[in-house]
Amino acid sequence: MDPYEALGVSKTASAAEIKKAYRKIVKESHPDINPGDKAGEARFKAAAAAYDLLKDPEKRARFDRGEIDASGQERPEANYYRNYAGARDNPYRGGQRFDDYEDLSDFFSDFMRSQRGARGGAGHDHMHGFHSDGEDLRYRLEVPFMDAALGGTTRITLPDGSVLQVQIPRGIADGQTIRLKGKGGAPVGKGRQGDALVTVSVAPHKVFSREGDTIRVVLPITIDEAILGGKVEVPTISGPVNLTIPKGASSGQVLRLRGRGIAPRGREDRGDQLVELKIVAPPSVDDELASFFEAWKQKHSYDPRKGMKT
Amino acid sequence: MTTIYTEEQIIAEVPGLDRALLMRFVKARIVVPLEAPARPGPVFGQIDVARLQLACDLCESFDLEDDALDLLLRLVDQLHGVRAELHALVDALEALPEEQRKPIEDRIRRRLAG
Repeated sequence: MDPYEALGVSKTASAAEIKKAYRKIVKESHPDINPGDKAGEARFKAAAAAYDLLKDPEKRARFDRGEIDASGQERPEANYYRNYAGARDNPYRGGQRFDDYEDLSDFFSDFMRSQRGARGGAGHDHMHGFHSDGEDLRYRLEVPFMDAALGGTTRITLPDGSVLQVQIPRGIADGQTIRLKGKGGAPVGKGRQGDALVTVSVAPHKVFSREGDTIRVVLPITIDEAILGGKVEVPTISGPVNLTIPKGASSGQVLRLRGRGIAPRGREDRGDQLVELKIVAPPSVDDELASFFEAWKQKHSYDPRKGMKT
Repeated sequence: MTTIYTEEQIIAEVPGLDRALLMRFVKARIVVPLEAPARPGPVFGQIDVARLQLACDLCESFDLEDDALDLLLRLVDQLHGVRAELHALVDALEALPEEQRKPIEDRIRRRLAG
């Protein structure tokens, strides 16, 4: 698309006119400010690409002389903020507060609470002048996987250099927020001190992954363990336990260890751990193994792919 | 889990962002880096790429001061938050059988009509 056309300006437009035209399109069509306007999105995309070209006098001159075309200016794949802004784990929005509710999925209490404005906020006290609560300050913290699963403590360094001790409650999940009462901004008058709101991001673990209260591991096993079955040691978040591999196990088979997952806050019963088996061939295939299978397959061939025929 | 960007990586990822601008946005708390005691420096997430892109777009087109930009982004957050909540409510409503849904819709319509 012709960049001048995309911005709705003439080829002789001044830099100021171009900026003004772009500004208007941002205002009316930027997808993050005008959610739900599908046509606007396309208009903004074309205008942004056009502006990226025309705002640079050198590039504009080269384009006018026909040395470059308008291609190559497109922004990389649309990665708009609105794709994240409405998510519950958006750390820039209140989000899910870990400490406020026992029932974390209680949308209604959240919604009603914000409706009624539970917090005092600013206002004139009848006689005693102006009071205002301190501002809540947001922080974001990456927490080691194990601390999130089992609880722990860590510290964050504030922009002013002071250090804040943070208790990580057991079972906290990605995107949840810890409220540290009184660690936020200073109040005015008799308002109360603001809080620090620390939104947690759980770091990945090299062995475990997590879905809610369920822990998942992929457990490598040998060919002989898969064929013959047997007891093997498997890591859990609270130390290794023995797991019985059934005879004739396959890769992808999932075994369940009850009560070895995460205990959410306020509950004693733990989630489960799922163990996905993965058969691993020996590092080298010796003659003995090869000749055994040569002989074996003569009489015992089987077809694990027969269900795939289309 | 989440993709993590270092300062250098996020500057490379967002068109129009340079170190000075990033420092300015961090200082104004327009983006809050992820504190990660286990890593050598502050890091950012996928959401920050999109948020910084929006901040750059707005900053560049309107010459906004930091406070104005912060205010605008807070409103954008609220807008999207309310939209997400409204979507959840509408979804829940749509899942109801007709005879339960209808009276609620009528009530909403009446309230909105004033």
